[in-house]
Amino acid sequence: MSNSELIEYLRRSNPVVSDPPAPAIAQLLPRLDQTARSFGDAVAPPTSRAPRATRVRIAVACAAAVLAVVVFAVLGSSGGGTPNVLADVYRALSPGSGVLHMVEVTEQTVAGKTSTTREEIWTAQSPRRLRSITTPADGKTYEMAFASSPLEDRRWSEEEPNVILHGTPAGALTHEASPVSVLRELVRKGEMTVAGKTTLEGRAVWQLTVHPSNYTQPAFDGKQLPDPTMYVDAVTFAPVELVSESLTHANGQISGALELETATTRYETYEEAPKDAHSESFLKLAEHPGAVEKNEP
Amino acid sequence: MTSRELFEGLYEQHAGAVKGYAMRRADPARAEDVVAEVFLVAWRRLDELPAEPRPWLFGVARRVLANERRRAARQGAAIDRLSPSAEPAEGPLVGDQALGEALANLSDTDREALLLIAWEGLKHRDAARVLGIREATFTVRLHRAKRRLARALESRAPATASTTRLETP
Repeated sequence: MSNSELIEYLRRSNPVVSDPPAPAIAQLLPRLDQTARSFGDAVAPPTSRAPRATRVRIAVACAAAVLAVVVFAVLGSSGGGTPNVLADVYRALSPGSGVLHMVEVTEQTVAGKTSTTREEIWTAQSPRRLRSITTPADGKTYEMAFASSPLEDRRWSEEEPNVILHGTPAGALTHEASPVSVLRELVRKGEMTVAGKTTLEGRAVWQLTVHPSNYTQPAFDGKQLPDPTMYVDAVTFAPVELVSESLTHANGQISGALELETATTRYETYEEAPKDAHSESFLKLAEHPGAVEKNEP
Repeated sequence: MTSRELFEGLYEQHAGAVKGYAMRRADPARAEDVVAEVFLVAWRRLDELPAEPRPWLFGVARRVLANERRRAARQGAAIDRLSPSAEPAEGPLVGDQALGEALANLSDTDREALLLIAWEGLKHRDAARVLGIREATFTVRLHRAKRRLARALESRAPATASTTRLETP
């Protein structure tokens, strides 16, 4: 069965072929008034005083916001000490005006079997662009390049080396999309803490512990798996390595015995080049002589 | 235009699609609750919505459906695991038993990659947004998923008419 036949087969199995009518909004509208917005817009017309529980939640949220500003100001101030490590990591993970180039190699080990994925990424802001070349364990290369202005989305892979696919993105990326943007967000949200200074293969690094709020680590063999660990260079604060453990089913299935999976991502390159014709050239899809340009089906 | 008017426009344009997304993956009786939860999140974060909000809304729906999280089934690189949207969805309902069984043996991310393309009709970039991963990662996953599904189908018996409910761990 070819790829297009497979997708067509799946399409035919769609249990809800066309979208159903929307539920009446009337039932939802009263709930909006009890739902705090994440910005300054008034939640409800100030015709009545909010319930005490809501007032408490708003007060707590305001206090948390003030605290966050104070903490961030402290983190952002100059001087030595652990708090500044996070501020420096945040800065190191923030894109500058140049072209950020990174190479990350991820090794995933499940039941003694290791697979390696290599990804090379170039990214720049204003306008937002990103190009990546990914080589998973099967050794085939996938390349994609995206630009928000003029809007362009092109992909090539060794699966179909004679085709360059043109995507039709509905809109420009509204957020930076790079691996480090996830890490930076963890720092911003206070979900990364400094464990201490150490060495990693002879290199001085800061060890950071990641505790994302969206999950807690499961237990395996009666022991809680450790939180993911991030290492950053002790001088530049650039990412060096991310190690995490989780549980997975063998062979990527969703049933059967659970196995411990260890994933280690090494940032082999992490550098920003000044924006010029040379560095900009890496943001464009490579030449693929003979490949035909096609629109994504 | 007030925030309320913006929200009502958003709801009118996308609530049906979100309901359809939920109905394809969970008990249809729960679909309207899912829609309500999704749009309450959208209301709270109205200023953060992307210009094309549907993938974002599907991503929220996916998380709403993932109350019973199946962390054990997580796949992918460590970085993607830390992404806020890296939550597994519930299993879909399919009428073709062979296909249902084959889909059930895919990882959650493989299955969702396929269904976002085939059922929701999303482009790669938008489907990647739903999953909270980069488009390049999505493309690799989709390719793997197609290959795994094709292999699984080849090793299974012909389809029957009964409905298979895909259980998640």
